Order: sequence, then C-alpha cells, then structure tokens
Amino acid sequence: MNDPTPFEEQLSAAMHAEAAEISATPNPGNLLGRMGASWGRAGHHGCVVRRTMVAAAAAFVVLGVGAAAAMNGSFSEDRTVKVGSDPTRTTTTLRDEPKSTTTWVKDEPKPTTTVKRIDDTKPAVTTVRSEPTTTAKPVEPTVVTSVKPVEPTVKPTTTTLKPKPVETTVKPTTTTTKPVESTVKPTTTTGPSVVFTANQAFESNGSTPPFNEYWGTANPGQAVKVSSPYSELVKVFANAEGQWSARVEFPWASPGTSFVVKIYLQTADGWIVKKELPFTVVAPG
Amino acid sequence: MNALPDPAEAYTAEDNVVPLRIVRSHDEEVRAAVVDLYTHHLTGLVRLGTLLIGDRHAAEDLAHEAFVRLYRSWDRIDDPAKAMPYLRTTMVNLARGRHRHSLVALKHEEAPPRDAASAEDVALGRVSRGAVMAALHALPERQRECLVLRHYLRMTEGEIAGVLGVSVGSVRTHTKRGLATLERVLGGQR
Repeated sequence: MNDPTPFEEQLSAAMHAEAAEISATPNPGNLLGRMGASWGRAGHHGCVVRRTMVAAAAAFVVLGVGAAAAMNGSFSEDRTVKVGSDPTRTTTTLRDEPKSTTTWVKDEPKPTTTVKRIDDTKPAVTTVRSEPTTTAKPVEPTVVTSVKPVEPTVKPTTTTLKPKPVETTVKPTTTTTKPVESTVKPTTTTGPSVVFTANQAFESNGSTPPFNEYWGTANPGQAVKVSSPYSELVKVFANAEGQWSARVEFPWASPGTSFVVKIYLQTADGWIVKKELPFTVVAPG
Repeated sequence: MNALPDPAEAYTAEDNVVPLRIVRSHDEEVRAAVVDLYTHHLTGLVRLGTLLIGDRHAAEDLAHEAFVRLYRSWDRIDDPAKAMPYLRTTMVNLARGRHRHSLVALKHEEAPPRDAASAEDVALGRVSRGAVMAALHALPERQRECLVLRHYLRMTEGEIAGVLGVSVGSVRTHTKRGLATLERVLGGQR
C-alpha cells in the first residue's frame, strides 16, 4: 500500500482521537448473563440443550392445553370428551422424545438374534416337510409316546441330550428335525456378546489441529466414550455389527505434548476405563 | 490464552466415574477464555463499533453480542488465536445491520450539532473531528468499513478483504472512492 497522504493522516488522527475518548467498562456478570440466556454453544451439547428445551416447552404447552380443557370440561359433558382426547396427544409427543435414545437398545437384538434365526429355521422346516409329507406327521406322535418314559430323566439336564436316546429308537427322519430345534433354542436364551476392543490409528500426529482415529468392537448399541485432557469428550455407539469408531481432535495440545487417551465403556456398573492409549502431538511438517 | 484444561483436574476423578465433569469443565474453560478476551478487548471493540455506526451505546451492545456469538461458536474456531479476528468480523457484520436500521431512524431525527473547529485546526487549515466523523458516517457502508479498518485498525488490504469477505481489488476501489468523497465533502469546509 502507498504511503498515506496528508489527508489520510488527518483522517487517521481524527479516528484515533475520536476512539480515544471512548472507554467501556467490562462487566463480566453482564456477559455471563447473556451467555446463560443464549441457547447454548453450537455443537453436540448445545444441540442437546436446545432439543430438550424445545421438547420441554412443547410438553408444557400441550399439558397446559390439556389442563385448560379439563377445567372447561367440568362444566359440560360434551367438553369432557375433549379432555379424553388431549391426554392422548401428550402421550404421543412424549413417546417421540425417548425414541432417539431407546431405539439403540430395542432395535439391536431383533435383527441379530431372533429375525435372522427365524429365517434360518423356516427353510429347515420346509425341507423336512417336503421330504416325507405323509410320514413326518405320523412319526412325531409316535416319537413322543415312545420316548415319554425316557424324557423325565433327560429333560432336567439339557435339550442337547435329547437326540441321543432318540437316535437309538427313532429313524433318521427324526434325527434331522431335532438338531434344528437344538440350534434355535440357544439363540433365544443367550445373546451374542462381542469382545470389547479399542485401537488407535496413530501414536503421534502433527496435523493442525492434531487428531487421531479410534475404533474397535463392542456389543451392538453399547456406548463408548473417548476422553483426553486436550479434547472434547466424544461419545459413540457400536453399530449393529458391533463396530464403533470415533475421530477425535486435540485443538489445545501443543507440539511435544504427550498424554493418555482413555476409552470408556458403558456397562451395567457404570463407565469403566477399558483402555488407555498414549498419544503424542508432534510439530507440523 | 488460558484455554487449556488442566490435565490433573481432568484425571483426578476415579476411573469408573462418568467423565461428565470433563465436559462441564471444558464449558467453563470456554467461558473463562471468552471472559478473559472480553475484559481485555471490550473497549477496543466498542471503539471500532462506534466508528462504524456512530453510536457509542449501540456499539457497546453490539460488542457484547459479538462476545456471546464467540462463546456460542467457540468449538468451530480451530485456533484460539483466531478469536480476535472472529470478533472483529462479527462486529463489522453486526454494525452493518445496525447501521441500516439506524439510518432509517436518523432520517426522522434532527442533525446533531457538529463540534466547532478548534483554533488550532482553523489555523492549520484542518477540518474538525466532528465534521470528519459526520462525513464518514454519511459514506456508503462498504466504503466506511474499508476506511475504518484501514486507517483506524491499520489493516492491510488483504486483511480487510478477509474481514469483509470481498476481493482485494474491491477493497482498493471502496477505499479510493471513500477517500475521494471525504476529500470532496471536507474540502469545502477548509
């Protein structure tokens, strides 16, 4: 830029003289009050606060309408009918809120255990029926009657023991059907448990801002938190396949800083540190 | 800037404790960082705002709003060193909206009495500061912004372009036109 002209210097001097007369007294309380009045910071936590506030306001309005309708309804029978309809509205709105949180838990067992296995059993059953359409039906009652004295002794142990005595007495048609039963039962009683693992992409990183990627396995829907003193807390959920991953940035870590990143797993006993991964921030380039 | 959370503070909790405390402490750190900036730079922002819109009280209000917006979008700012440029840009943008509003109000208001030129100004052939400010606030907003950022904050054309979100050529044009207008208007008062 060129050297300032005398007029530009006058202009600059006038601006500085005008500004020098202005002084503002900081009032942190005023600012903090405004911060508190604002709807939270942008990002995950702000959104959560905003959503809950909107949900609470909506519930309040709906309940208020319901209460007003109830008060009006006490004067006439026609209006009492409306009272009955309003509470249903409240239940529907309240149901919508938890959906986002509970679907993780509710949805996960269905596709993995029951739905898949039921599909598996169907073809097995149909094949059995197709082979001896006429013989299979009469065989079943005969098996039950013949095995009856044996069953009381076998039943208390396990279902897998059943086929052994049956094999000796009954023909091959029954042996094919029984294993199908034995495979179905365990799926309903015990759910698959995934071993928790946690890995990190780098042991050191020099990008701006420094970051690292973490991944591993956990039970589907299980929550995992990645925490460090130089980053925000990151919370993720394992997907239906039991895999989780998270990208974490460390904006406050200066080059040369070494620290430990803790991986927490949510269990019935609370949050447990499952793994501690060391990480070092190096100079960029 | 004191944006670093204390590692010891973050890990004094037991391992099995929910690390929600860390989340809250981070938010508190953000508040502390913003309040620190507020304490040191409020006056500077109010001065900038006053030069841009000509109203000291409105400028103070806008400065507070700028700090609140900084607090709200702190996580989007990668580098804490970018907080001040962010504040300046926010202030300029807020002042632009405010100035449009105040222009309508000024049309229905009597013009404030201008400061009389001092004896020294008259002797040196200079124009009074009040006249300069009045002429400055009569400029189109882009020209006024360019002149204030250039001659008050002493920014380069590139920096001004970054704050205003326009090209360097555009900054040069606005600055030149603004200066020409001021010289023409104030030249008649010398």
